[in-house]
Amino acid sequence: MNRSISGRLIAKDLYLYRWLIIAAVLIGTAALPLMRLGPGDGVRSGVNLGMILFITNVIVLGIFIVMYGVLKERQDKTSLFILSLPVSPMQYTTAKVGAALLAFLAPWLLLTGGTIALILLSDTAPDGGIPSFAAMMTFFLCNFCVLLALVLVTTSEQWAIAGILITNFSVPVFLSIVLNLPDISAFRRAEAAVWSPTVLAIIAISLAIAALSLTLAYYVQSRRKDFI
Amino acid sequence: MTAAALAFRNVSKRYPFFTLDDASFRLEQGQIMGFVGPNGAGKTTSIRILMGLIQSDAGSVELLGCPIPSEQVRAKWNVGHVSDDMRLFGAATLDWHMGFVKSIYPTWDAGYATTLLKRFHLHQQQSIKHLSHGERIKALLLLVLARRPRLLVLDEPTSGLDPVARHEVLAELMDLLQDGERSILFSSHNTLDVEQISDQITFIDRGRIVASDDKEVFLDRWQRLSIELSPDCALPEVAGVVDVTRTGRIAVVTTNDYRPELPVIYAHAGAQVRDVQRMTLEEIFVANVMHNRKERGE
Repeated sequence: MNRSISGRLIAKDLYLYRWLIIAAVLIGTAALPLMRLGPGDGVRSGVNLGMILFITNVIVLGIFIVMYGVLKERQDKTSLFILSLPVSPMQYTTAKVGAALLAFLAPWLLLTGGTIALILLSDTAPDGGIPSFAAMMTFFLCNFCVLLALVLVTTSEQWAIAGILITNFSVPVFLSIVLNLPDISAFRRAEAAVWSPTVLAIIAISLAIAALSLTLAYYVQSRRKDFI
Repeated sequence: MTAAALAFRNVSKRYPFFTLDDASFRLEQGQIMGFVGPNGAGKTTSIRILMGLIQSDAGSVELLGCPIPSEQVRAKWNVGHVSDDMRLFGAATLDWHMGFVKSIYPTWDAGYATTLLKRFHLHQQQSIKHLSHGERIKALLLLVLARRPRLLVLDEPTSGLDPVARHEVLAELMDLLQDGERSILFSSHNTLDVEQISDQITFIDRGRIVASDDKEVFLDRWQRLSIELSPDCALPEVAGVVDVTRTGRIAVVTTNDYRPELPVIYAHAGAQVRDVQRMTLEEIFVANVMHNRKERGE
C-alpha cells in the first residue's frame, strides 16, 4: 500500500512539473535545428546560439525542478500537507527524489537521444562529436543530482543559490577545459565516434558523483531528527 | 483496555532557545482535548512530535496505539492533521486535491465532501492560489474530514479566521462530534474556541505541561472569591489559593481548589465571602500560567 502511495506522490509531482517538462522538451527540440553541427563546429563552436539555447534549457530545467519542486514545497509548507498523509519522512524523500529524477531524466534522455540521432543521421555532422556531447550531458545530470542533494540536505535558499552558482560556474570550466583535453578534442571531428579512456572516465566520474551525492543526501536525511 | 487516542509520556525535546520539558498527557478515544498555550509555548512542537515530523530526545509517544515515530505510517491512516501554516499546491485546483486525497484513502466519503463544499462555500474548480486564508483552512478541513479519520489533530485551525469562518469551522467540528467514536486534539491560544468544543483541557507554557484535566473540573475548581475583611483581620492560609489581590477592606482570592466549605473557613477567621464567581477558561488559563511561573521563580 505504501509503495502505491509513493507512486501517487511521484505522479503528483510529475503532474505539477508537467508544463516544465513539456517546455524543456519543446525548447530543446527547437534548439536542435539551430545547432550548427557541420564539420568543424562539433559541439564547441564559439557562437552557436542553438547550442547555447540547448545547454541553457537543460540547466534551467534542473534548477526549476529543484527550486520549485523541492525547496519551494518545503518553504511553502506544502510538504507539511504531504507529510500528514500516511507516509514517513524517508518515503517522502524517496518519492521526491524519484519524481525529480524522472522529471529531469525524461527530457534529458529525449534531448540526448535526439541530438545523437541527429548527428548520426546527418551527413555533415561528424560522429566524433558524440562522445564529448554525451560527456557534457552526463556532466549536466551530475550537476542536477548535486544540486538536488544539496537542497534536500540543507533546505535553505542561500545554500540552493550557492549550489546553483557553483554548478553553473562549473559549466564553462567543463566546456573549455575538460572537453578540450587532447584525448577528447583530437577525435571530435573524426568520422566515427571514438570513446577514449578519458571521455569514458569523465562520464564514469560524473555518474559516480551523482550517485554519491544522492546517497549522501539519503544518509543525512535518515539521521535527521527534524523534518519540518 | 482500549488504547488512548494519543499519549505523551515524559517527552522532551531540546532546542537552543526552547525546551519541551518532560511533557505527559493523554487523550482518550471519543474525547476532545483543547491544547492551550501562549505563542511559543510548545503546542506546535508537541503536535509535530505526535505526527512523526520531529523526533523527541526522550520519552514516548503513542498515536492510536502506534508508537511514534516508528509506526507513524500505520497511525496516519486514521489521523487527519491540519495546521494554520499548512499549504496546498497553489497551481492546482481544489478538485485536483480532492482527487489526490481520494486516490489514497479508501474511506473517502464523496457525499460528505460535497456537503462540506456547500457548507464551506468552496468551489471545486477554484485554484488554490486564489483562496483566502479562511477558505484555505476550510479546504484543508474538507480534505481531512471527508476521509473520516478517527482522530483529528488541529494545530491552531481557527487562527486568523474571521468570526464567521471561525463559526463555520467550529460548527462543523461540533457536528463531527455527534459520532462519539472520533477524537480531536485542538490546539489554540484562543480559549473561547477551546471552551466551546472541548471535554478536556491541557495547558502548556514555556515548554511545560502546566495542567491537564476535564474542562468541568477546571471550571468547578477554579473560582474567584470576593471577601470583605475587617481592618485588623488577616486572611487565613488556605490550601489551593493561588492569588490574592487586596484593595482596602476587599480581597479578591483566586483558588484552584474551590470547595463549598471555603466560605465557612474564611467566616471563622472573621472574613465575609460576599461573592463567588466562576472563572472563564481564559481567566483560568492566565491565572494557572502566572501561578506556575511564580512557583518556578520565573
